[in-house]
Amino acid sequence: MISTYRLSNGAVLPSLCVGTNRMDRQLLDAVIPAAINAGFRFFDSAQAYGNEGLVGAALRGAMEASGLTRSEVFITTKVDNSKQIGRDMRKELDRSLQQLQMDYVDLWLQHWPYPDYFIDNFRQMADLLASGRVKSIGLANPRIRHLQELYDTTGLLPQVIQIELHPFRQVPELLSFCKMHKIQVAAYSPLCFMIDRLKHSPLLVELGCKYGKSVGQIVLRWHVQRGVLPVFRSEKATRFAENAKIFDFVLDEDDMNRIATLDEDYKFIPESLHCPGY
Amino acid sequence: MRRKICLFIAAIGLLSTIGLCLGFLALVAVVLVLLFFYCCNRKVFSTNYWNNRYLAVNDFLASPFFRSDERRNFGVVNLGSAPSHYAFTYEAFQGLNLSSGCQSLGTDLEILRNYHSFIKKGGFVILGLSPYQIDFKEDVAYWSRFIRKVPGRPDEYRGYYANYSYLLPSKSHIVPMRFMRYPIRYKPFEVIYSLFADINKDLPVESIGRSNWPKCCMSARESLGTHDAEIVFSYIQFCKDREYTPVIVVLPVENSLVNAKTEAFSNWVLGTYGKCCKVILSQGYKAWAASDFIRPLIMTKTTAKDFTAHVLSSLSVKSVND
Ligand SMILES: NC(=O)c1ccc[n+]([C@@H]2O[C@H](COP(=O)([O-])OP(=O)(O)OC[C@H]3O[C@@H](n4cnc5c(N)ncnc54)[C@H](OP(=O)(O)O)[C@@H]3O)[C@@H](O)[C@H]2O)c1
Repeated sequence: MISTYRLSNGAVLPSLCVGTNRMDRQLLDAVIPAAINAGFRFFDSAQAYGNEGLVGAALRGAMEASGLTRSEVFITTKVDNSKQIGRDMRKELDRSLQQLQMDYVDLWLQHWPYPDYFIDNFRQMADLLASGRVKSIGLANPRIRHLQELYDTTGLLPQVIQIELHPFRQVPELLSFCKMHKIQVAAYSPLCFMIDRLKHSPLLVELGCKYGKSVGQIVLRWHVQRGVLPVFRSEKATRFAENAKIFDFVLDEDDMNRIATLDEDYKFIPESLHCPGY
Repeated sequence: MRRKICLFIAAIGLLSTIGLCLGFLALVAVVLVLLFFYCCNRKVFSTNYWNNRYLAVNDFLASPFFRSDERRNFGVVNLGSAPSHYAFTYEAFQGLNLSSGCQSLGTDLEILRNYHSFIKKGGFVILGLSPYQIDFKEDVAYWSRFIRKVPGRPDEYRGYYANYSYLLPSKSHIVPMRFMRYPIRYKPFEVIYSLFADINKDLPVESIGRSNWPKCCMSARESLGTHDAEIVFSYIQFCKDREYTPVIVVLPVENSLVNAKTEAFSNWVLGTYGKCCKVILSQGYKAWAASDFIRPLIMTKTTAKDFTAHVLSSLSVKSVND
């Protein structure tokens, strides 16, 4: 059974989320039902992935097949930079809801803290919370300087941030900041794309043997034990059952500290390429 | 009278025949010239003159391919115009040359805004400034570097151009696009010249036909213009806000080019920026001979290796071999 996190506004989200970027109809129609069958209820999408409509359709199909209601599943979507320029968040929410064919999104994020736009747009997003069409709002890819600027200018802070986070990038200062301000941290690329360096990391392989788990499970468990919400991606139906089985063991403190030594501030996704002036 | 009319008609006939012949010859000549231009235009894509134009971006990470290139956290990058591009080489260091050659300070800042995530926290961002200004404009050939598709170039060049197409001066991108297809139309003399007397492989394209550079195109400067000076301040602030370490390096020139103005330039840079970032004046650390440069201001590869090691050792950056 996948555990949950309670956000600062009282909303509840599952502690593991399934990513959907770079997935077409065929893949989504395979991945989403497999994830639901394995117990996952939380899905991550974005305008920039160009497949919000397909995600919505696949999710509705899987809900119908498994008898789940809308309140039992959770969905994130994100406003693209190109849409931030329009400075009309209501329109973007309408657009996303229409694509997803849903009445509300559980978590609505700005994809990037786009310079000159993100503060005004975040204020608009916060105003839209009252409409009930958005349950929680947040920011993807911020650094402390963005959160501080947002707070200093508007007095607002996100309920959730989604950042690149994995054993090679642990950003302890940002995590402390979020803890202090009751911001839930979600980790994208939580497995660092399972690049070879991670997959064959002697420490992670050793811990896998010790706990009788795969490297993927060790890393996902490490996230959850740190209070982080990993958003992982897989194209393989069999993976979901594997990744859901991380609640039947606990990494001991010593092992958590050893994983902390893997930090090298390694960012796989270069932010400035996606968001010039970041 | 009838004879006169006959003569008149014969003359007209003769003239029109000559006219027709001339017209035909002219037409043939035009067709031949066009054919010649067409052939030259096709041939130029395989010359060093054309291919060396892209030497400068060989060091760049091709942006959409970041998934297949896992290098990150560079300890040093450098920006700046052609003299800076050819002054830094990172075979022995974990560095990245972000100067694409002849670029303005505004473009340096844009490139930094796009590429800074490849730099590690605290990493050095070097801006190389030459005490000489090269007076050729950022012309079509220059902007063509930023175009998405490069005829005759392999695919890995694509990303760099794609990312930068928006840097093109507004609406002027159509001209460089055409330049990429029909260089002969925009640079007929250079193109034809290159077919008969191509430049050496690996010689910077900036140096083509500029053996008389010092006289025609270079002028010593005592300072940067107000606009450029402001851009350098923005650049310094941009680095500091993101926890990188900005460094300004005043690049050396061969000793015979040192004069009161170049000395004044070094002092101006130190006085203007020395308080807010590290400034390295590199003229004095050795005697700079003409043979250290391929062309005035453009260092040879060997000199650049030495120079890079010198600058980086003064920043206490370790070589990958240490
Ligand atoms: N906000 C943003 O800017 C942003 C940016 C990037 C991504 N994201 C979100 O984050 C999600 C996930 O990130 P990601 O795809 O970048 O990286 P990821 O989840 O860290 O890595 C995905 C890779 O891990 C493999 N994998 C998954 N579980 C595994 C296991 N148990 N053992 C071994 N390998 C395993 C997958 O392979 P198989 O397919 O073979 O299972 C896939 O190749 C995306 O789908 C997207 O929704 C958000």
